Amino acid sequence: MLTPHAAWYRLRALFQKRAVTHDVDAELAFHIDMETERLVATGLDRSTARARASRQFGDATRVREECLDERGVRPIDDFAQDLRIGARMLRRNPSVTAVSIITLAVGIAAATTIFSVIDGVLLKPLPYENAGRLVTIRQRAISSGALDDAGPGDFLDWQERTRTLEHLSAAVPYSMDHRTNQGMTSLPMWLVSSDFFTLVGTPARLGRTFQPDEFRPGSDRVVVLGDGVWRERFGADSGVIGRTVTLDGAPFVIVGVMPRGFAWPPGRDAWVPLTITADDRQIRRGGWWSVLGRLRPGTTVEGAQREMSMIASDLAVTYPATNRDRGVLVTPLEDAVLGDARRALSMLAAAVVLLLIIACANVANIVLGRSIARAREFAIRGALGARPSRLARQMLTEVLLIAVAGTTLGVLVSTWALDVVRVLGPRDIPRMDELAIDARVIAFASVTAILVTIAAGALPAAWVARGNLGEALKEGGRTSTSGPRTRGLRSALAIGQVTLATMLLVGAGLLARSLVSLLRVQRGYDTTNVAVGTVQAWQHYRDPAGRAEFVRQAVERLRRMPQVSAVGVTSSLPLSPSIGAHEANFVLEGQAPPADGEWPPVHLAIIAGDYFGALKTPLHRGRLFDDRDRGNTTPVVIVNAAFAQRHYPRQTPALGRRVTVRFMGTDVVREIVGIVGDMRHEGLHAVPKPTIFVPHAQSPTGALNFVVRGERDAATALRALRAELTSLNSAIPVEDPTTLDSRLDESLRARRFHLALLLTFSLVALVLAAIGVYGVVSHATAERTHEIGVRVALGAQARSIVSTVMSSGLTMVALGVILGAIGAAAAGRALSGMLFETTTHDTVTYAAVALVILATSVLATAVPAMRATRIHPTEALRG
Amino acid sequence: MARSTVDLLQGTLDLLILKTLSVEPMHGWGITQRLQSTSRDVLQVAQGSLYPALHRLEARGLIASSWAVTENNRQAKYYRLTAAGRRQLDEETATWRRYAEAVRLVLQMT
Repeated sequence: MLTPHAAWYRLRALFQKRAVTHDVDAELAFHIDMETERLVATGLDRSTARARASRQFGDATRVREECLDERGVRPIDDFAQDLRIGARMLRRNPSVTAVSIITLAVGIAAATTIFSVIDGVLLKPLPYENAGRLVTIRQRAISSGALDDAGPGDFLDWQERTRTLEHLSAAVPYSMDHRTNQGMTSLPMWLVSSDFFTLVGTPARLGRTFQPDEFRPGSDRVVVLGDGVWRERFGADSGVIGRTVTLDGAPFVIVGVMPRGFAWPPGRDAWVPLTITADDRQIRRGGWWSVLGRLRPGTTVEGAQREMSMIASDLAVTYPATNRDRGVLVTPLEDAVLGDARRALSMLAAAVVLLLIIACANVANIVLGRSIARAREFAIRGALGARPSRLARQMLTEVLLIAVAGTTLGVLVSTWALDVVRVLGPRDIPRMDELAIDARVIAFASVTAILVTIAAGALPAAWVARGNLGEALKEGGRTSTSGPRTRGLRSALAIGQVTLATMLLVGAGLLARSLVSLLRVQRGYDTTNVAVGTVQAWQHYRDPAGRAEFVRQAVERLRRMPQVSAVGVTSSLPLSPSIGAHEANFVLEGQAPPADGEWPPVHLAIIAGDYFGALKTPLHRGRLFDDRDRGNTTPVVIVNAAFAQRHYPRQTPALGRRVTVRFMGTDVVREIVGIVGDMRHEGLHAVPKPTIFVPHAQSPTGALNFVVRGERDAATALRALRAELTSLNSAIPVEDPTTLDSRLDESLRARRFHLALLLTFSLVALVLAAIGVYGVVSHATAERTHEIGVRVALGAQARSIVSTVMSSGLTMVALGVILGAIGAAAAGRALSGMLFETTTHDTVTYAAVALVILATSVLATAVPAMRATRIHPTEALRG
Repeated sequence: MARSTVDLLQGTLDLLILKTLSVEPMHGWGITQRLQSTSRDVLQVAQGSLYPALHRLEARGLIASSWAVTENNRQAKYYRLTAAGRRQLDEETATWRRYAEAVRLVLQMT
């Protein structure tokens, strides 16, 4: 047993070999000196005395060695020797070494990159105090399960009644116009309730967060800036604290700047105190308050969920009109933040593990091949007394050298790869910009290197240790043969590689097919040459008529621009974040009106100008809105095809029918005047929802998305949009000006990213598997040189030689492909959530993958096959 | 030399070292001297074989070592008994006594 003391004693020998050696030498020298002195004292002369002392002492060299052995220095010497021999062997076969190292470097680079993404995004706790105990609270419709943020009334009731949650806080999205030297811009921000900063617990990096009295109505106006806004708009000036900014025309004092990485709730980079008034309590509709709380010590998410559900059913009794269908969902913050990213990253992690296994198999195969070639060397060392375990250790040491070199190279590559990931990565993977190669990532890479050494070195080491090496000496041929068992082993490794490569390629193929289907899907709008920009007109035109007039004028001005072919306005734009209320309820004419909480929901967009023309959305029946539809004329509505099909299946056309639309608390009976095509609103993957469109003149909202189709391109249209709106009212900023194409790209970004990564992994896997197959086939061919020479001498055609060599390799590949296809079919579930109109058993993908692998393998086996045809019979037989 | 000497029995060297060190901390040469004098020169320790034994005992934690200055002002490595070493010494002494007694009884057979 190794006691702690003994372990420490040995460990010291490991790291202080020189000191330990010196210690032993000095001790032995002292002994000889003392003995010499003693003998001199008995009357001997000094040189005789020293000689006798040495004789009495015995074999000093052996004693020294034995002492050092007891001190545990020996294994280190052995290891050093292994390293020297290993390094020499690796240098002697530079191409083999290079292939092994590069193979591993690629695998490790992929693994390290994905690990640092996973580590940065999933494993590291969120940068808030007690992040693990933070939860989001949302309202959930009991009937449909639809989730929504809360409203002020519910929030205040929750805050008062809950006993399981503390510091319940609300954050309300808001935008204020920010007057800067360059003109007006908009500052998106969160209005936060008084406990918000206490809850998240993150202190300001400069200045402070809010004080309780700053939440009282009429108190001084203050703002806390986020790191991004502070850098972009205030030049990262640390003297910004105490300065005044003009927001919505009023002075606000900057009291604090939050640290980098603090972004909660995500997406907005400034915080202003939310003043809650008595009126807010009366507002019981839901919708836009993000509620966050912290579990009290000793309570669980389930406990909080139970309590909040009970509070919700109490509220349903108290306020049946609004709360009857309203439940509550408590979600851990981490789940809320990470969401889908977790699934995608798990898929990538699995892919990377497969890739790493393939790389290990490659190294194992290469090293095994080398060790077979070196059978004579091992046999001789064995005959000279090297123990099998020592030889096995030699193999492991060589693999370790390869692993260390490969890992170092891999980590270097992954620092570069991370930059690429950071740029290309989807925005919906949170905290992407925080990624870095840090100590944890290095630790991961080191552990991986050790695992790789074990995984790739175990087979060769076991083979060497098995010790059937005597035969190598007996054979004495120029090439040593490996015997059927090792040949089987190497084939199995190659088949395994093909299997895993097939699985990865199938995964990549399915994602690629999904992306293609997605790009081909009927969208219902045309994004090319379309510029978009958002305007919040509430502050500037407080009365509805003013807003209607502003929209009418803006559309009129833009329409006259020569570079613009169509102009529209909508409160709810496809592929874009929602900027205002877009959920309405409705009842069809002739239906008995349901109870208040049970009106069916419908997506609603308020539009103006030639909205459908700007998006090239087809009008199926009826008419579009025009100047006839004003505030004082018959209320009208256009519905989309999904709405018409669902609610008037047998009575097409629905034109002329009437619906009661309940929106923002008022009911209006509207007549259907047109039916338009469906749009994929939330993204290309999203099935179009039943939607109704209302003319802006009859419901003048302040939340406006301008949609401008350019005559030639989107850029000139975008310039026209900004110029015309500024000249109409220079106080109104245009938010998020961009093109609809880039919104489309943004919506596909995550899919493209996952596809790119998986495709890269699977192509690398394909190359590695091809190398593996090539190695096995060419080695087998080399072993059969003699046999082939005989066949050539007997008149065999080059063609039959080629087919013999290639068929053995291709059989292996075919087996691997079949196993891989089975594996992919079994593992396909991992992808199911990421596919679009593609099943996990998509035949086309499987066939294409099989074809690609077979084609690659034909190349990989053709090289050794051609080499075999050039074998000269006399040479082969002489050997 | 007038007196006949005896080679050490296998395994007794450790015991003798522990016993010697139980008197006082000592360096290696001192131990050989002490062993020879107390056994009245009967026990001959091959001087070299002492050292691997010392290092082995130290590795097992039965003795500990430190460099110190001798009376003659030289650097020497001194060994001393640890608590574990003292327990080990007691056990082995008891074992040895039983063993020697048993051997004596057998040899007294008539």
